[in-house]
Amino acid sequence: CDPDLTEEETAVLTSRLSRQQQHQQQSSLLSGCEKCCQKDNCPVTRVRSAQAVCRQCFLAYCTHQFRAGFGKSQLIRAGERVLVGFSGGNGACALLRLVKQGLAESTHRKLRFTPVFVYIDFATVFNDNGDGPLSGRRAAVLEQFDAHLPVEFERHCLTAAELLPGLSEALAAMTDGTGYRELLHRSVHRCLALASRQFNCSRVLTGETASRLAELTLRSVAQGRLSADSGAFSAIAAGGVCQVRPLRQLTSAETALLSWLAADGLMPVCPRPADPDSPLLNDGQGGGSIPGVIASFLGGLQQSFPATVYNILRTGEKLQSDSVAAGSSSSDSAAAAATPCPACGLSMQQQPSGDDGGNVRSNCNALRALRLSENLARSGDSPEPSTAAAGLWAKEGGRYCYSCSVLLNGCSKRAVLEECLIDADGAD
Amino acid sequence: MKLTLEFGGGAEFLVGNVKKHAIDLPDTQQWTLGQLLEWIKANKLQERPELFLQGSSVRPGILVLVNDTDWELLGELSYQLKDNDDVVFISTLHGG
Repeated sequence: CDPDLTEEETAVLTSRLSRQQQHQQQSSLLSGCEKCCQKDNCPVTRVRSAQAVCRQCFLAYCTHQFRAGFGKSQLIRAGERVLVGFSGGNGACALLRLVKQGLAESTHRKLRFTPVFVYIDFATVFNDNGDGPLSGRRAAVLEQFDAHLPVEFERHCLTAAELLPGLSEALAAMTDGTGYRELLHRSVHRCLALASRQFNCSRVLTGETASRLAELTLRSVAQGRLSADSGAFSAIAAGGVCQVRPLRQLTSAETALLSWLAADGLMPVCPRPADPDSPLLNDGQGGGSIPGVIASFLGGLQQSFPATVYNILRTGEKLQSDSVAAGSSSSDSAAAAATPCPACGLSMQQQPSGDDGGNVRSNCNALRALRLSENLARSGDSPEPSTAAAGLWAKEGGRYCYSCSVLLNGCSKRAVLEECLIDADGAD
Repeated sequence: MKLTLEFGGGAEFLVGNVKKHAIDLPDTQQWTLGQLLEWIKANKLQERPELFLQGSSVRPGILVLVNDTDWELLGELSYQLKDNDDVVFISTLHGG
């Protein structure tokens, strides 16, 4: 048993282990862990290598996947202040547990950065002034901080309404579900970036799992943009903030199983999935959205084909590197690539019009694919890229990238939305 | 046959916001996980069954454990339940 568990947690774990052993004796399908080869260790799940592993090997696997990213990237130096975004969700709980474990004195080759845990409270953005689900979530998260964070770890609760004053108004003014969800997603990361500046942190750690990053990658492509959300271990977002995703190698199912098997009392604080008033799950006006469709599609595919999310992440990384290479090989594209979009920080290389100089690689990007799909959906047979995207671009004067132009045009209070998106004090 | 059902990750809201349920199934038949899901739909789910079930199985994103073991290792729907089994349903359909 782990020496760090309380008596109650040890009792729960012992009870579970004895049930597992009883189950193994009765089951003819399981014959011991395929990793440690101990017949007495009952397998609990399969991991990426398709091995059936026991609880101890699964916990070790999760720790290894978490630590491997730091080791390979050498991204975070000893003593560096690192903001850890904690939402109370599935991935966030796994992240908190693994960071705490990695920083423990007794850990071999312990991590050596200084974490600053931050919860961004969205309650007042959605007019939840004390008795709604978001206020409940804040209270539960603060209890988790008290119960599971060592006292020496810095922790803060910041309100999104103070960090982005116009956010509530901008969300209410979004005219479609896709734009609403996109703004919500971006506002979380904007808040974390602002918090990292406030607390003098050089990096932001988030609990996005492989499943979530694959979803974001497909979402980005579907909206005609290559993105820092392409699923890499680290990415520079708008404002020059370095986002790090140390759970990139773990699926949402694995992080959920980690929380359950760890048996340390740290469980996700979950929104009510069926609550129509839950603003974090609200598709906004107009019903369905691209993010909703992508999440549903990917979830179904992953269930049948477990390598799906990893394939998407690998392909997303290649798209990111190919776009950088394409930008550097053409003088026109190089000039455009040097200018980041002020709203999202991405390269402005993806303008829908203009001479690409016949460069094959620069012709192969998400925006051109989107334009082609749009045209095929309308005309049915024409291979020419549509002019709708070019028209929107011309209307915007080329100030923003295509997907940010769409987002801004989908809001009836554009000036308020621009204030939320654009980082006036950015490091670009 | 006595079983313990546990719901987590938000799935508990679909069964009256109760995380742990002790149930007693009649011994008149052999119960599989597939049959248990039908029983849950008829007797426990109080709202939005489409957020928990899809066809005859659970919706993608719902993790199912039997005695802390992934049901994938046990044959999923065809697994035959035993007395005092602990069946856990954890929703992963929320963010981090």
